[in-house]
Amino acid sequence: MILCTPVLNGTMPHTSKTKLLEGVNRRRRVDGLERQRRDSPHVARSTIDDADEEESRECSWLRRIYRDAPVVFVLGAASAYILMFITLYSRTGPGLAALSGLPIIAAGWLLGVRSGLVAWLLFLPINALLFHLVDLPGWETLFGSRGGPGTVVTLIIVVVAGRLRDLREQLEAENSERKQADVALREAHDELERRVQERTAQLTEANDLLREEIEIRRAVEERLQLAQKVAKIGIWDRSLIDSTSVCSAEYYANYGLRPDHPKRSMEEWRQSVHHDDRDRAMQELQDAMNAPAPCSSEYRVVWPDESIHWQRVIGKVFHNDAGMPVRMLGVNFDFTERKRAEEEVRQLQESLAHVTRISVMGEMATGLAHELNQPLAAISTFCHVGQALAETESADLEKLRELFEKSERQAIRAGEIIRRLRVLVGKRDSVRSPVDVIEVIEEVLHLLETDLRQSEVEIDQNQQTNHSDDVVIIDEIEIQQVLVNLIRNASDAMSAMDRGQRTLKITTAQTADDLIEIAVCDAGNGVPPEQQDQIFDAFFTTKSSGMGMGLAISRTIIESHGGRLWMTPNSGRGVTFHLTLPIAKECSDDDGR
Amino acid sequence: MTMAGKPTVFVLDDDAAIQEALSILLQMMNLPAEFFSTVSEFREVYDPSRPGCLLLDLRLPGDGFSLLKELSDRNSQLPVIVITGHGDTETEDEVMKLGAIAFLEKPFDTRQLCGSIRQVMDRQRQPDLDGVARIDRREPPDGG
Repeated sequence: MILCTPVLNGTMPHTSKTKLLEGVNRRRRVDGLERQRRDSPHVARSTIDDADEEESRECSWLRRIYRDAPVVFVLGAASAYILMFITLYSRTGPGLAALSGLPIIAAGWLLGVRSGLVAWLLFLPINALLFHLVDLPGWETLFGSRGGPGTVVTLIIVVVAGRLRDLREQLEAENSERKQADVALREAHDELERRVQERTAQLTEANDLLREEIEIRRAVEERLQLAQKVAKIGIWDRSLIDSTSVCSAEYYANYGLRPDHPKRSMEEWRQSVHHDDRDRAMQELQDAMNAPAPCSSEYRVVWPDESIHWQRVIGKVFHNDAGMPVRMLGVNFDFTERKRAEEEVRQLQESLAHVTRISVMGEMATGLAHELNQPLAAISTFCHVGQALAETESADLEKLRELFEKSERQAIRAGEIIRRLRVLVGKRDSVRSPVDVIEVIEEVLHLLETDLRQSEVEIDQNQQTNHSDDVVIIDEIEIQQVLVNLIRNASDAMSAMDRGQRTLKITTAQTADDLIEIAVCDAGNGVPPEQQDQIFDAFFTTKSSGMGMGLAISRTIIESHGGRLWMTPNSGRGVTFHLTLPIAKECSDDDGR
Repeated sequence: MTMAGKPTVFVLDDDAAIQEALSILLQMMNLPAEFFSTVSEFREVYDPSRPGCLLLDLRLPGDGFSLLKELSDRNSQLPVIVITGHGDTETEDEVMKLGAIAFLEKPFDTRQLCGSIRQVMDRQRQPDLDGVARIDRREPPDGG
């Protein structure tokens, strides 16, 4: 009855239960290891492999029992039935019944189940014992025959065998699943390991790149900070919503303030701007509020020590979706030194221009003296005639009045000549004002009238502009100087031409980009191609006299007015010098009204 | 136009004011006069056979100096009084060598000019004289 007790209780054998519990525990252990592996993959992997090998050793004999037990029991049951039939119907006794297991052995052998012999050997004594036991009184009453106990035992055996088979299959299935799970787990682990390695490599590479980029950015930032410091470039960022601002140390330095100076309000900034530039700077700031592109402004600022510094600001205003300005960002830098240098250059250029004018006037002195002596000679003659008239007895007062009037005109003419000379020769500061460029040309032609007349140069003046477009903001004397230079050069260039071919064309036209272009076109021998790039160089001249500064100074003057001066060879004879000057729009509009 | 044969003062100066002033002066002196602004104009009109004198400015279209030299080269009998606005000693010497009878700088002394003209024109009316009137050069007025 060793086997019946656990079966009747419906429980598993203790050993099997223990092993099953171990299997479950192992499952938990593996799960725990899996979790551990997730946390620490390298350590967990070896621990799982060790657990598998240990369990494999422990369960090998148990698996064999699970695997063969059903067959043992089936074969045993079959031999028991055969034994019972033989016993019941043949009454041959246990000795013969024992032989009934032989077919079972044969069947088991044929089926390749070695356990058939074990079953037969095991159940033979059991059946013989049962056969002997059921022969006790009461058993037959209870089961109706002597074969009854054998049948019950067989049924129990079959049930137990079936149950064991189910358990075995269940264990095998679990084992199989676990193996599959282990394989899948191992594959997943390998995959995870591979991915971890790949990801680690990627992260390492990304980390290296990031570190490299950080280094580059740090270097750039250091250079930028150094450049800002050296170039005195400050950075400012102002919120127009809450009026807060962030400014660099150089920004404050450009206002003569310490880097830890408290944040300044807009009014404080306004007060720091030089009073002569304040309204303009504010207006430019206001204009920038609606400008889509970056704007710039130059103004003077007064430092706390009352020193004056030039500052240039470049910034941009950012707008929200509703078009409202919300932020201002930009830079400021001090360019006082450059401004001083520019002022020195400007003064030197003015001095040079003055010297050049003096030189030109020296070259023109003979003609100018002649020009001045003409009205004086006329006055002298008118006076002589008037005096003679006055000495007569019947003095014609009307004629005398005419003579006085003519003398007065000539005196005024002489005064004009002197005025022009004085203006051109006098040392003065550059003053720019709206001037009609046609009047400037006329003035220059008056000045050169004698020279041109005696050189038999015919002037062909062609004006292709509207009067309102002729107004330019210039230093009139400087532009006169340029025109004197160009017209005298043109006249000189034509001196070798036959009389009647010395036509000097002066054309005034408006260009597409709101400039006045004055073209001085001669019909001379032209400029050799190899000299065309040199004629604007200082001290370059093709004349026997002169400093060679005329065209160089002229170009400097025109460029300082925002224009250009250049030369083009004519298709026929001679060359044309072109100069452009920006039209003074507002003034021309005023004139138009 | 003047009558043929009557001595005429030819004025060659490109300045309108000078022409006007000399016109009034010569009118007052009762002398016929003709005015030219360029050398080429004068060349076109001038007839060497006509008596008279020439008041010549040196700086004018066509170059008065060249005309004087041309007249000298041709041994012209036309007396020439040079009136110029930019005289200097070298120019004066050269002009006198070329046969000019007077060299007057603008602004000239009108009395001196009148005297020179009168002297030349009087001689022009006296054919028994040498034919070519020569007037001694006088010093220019002091300070006008």
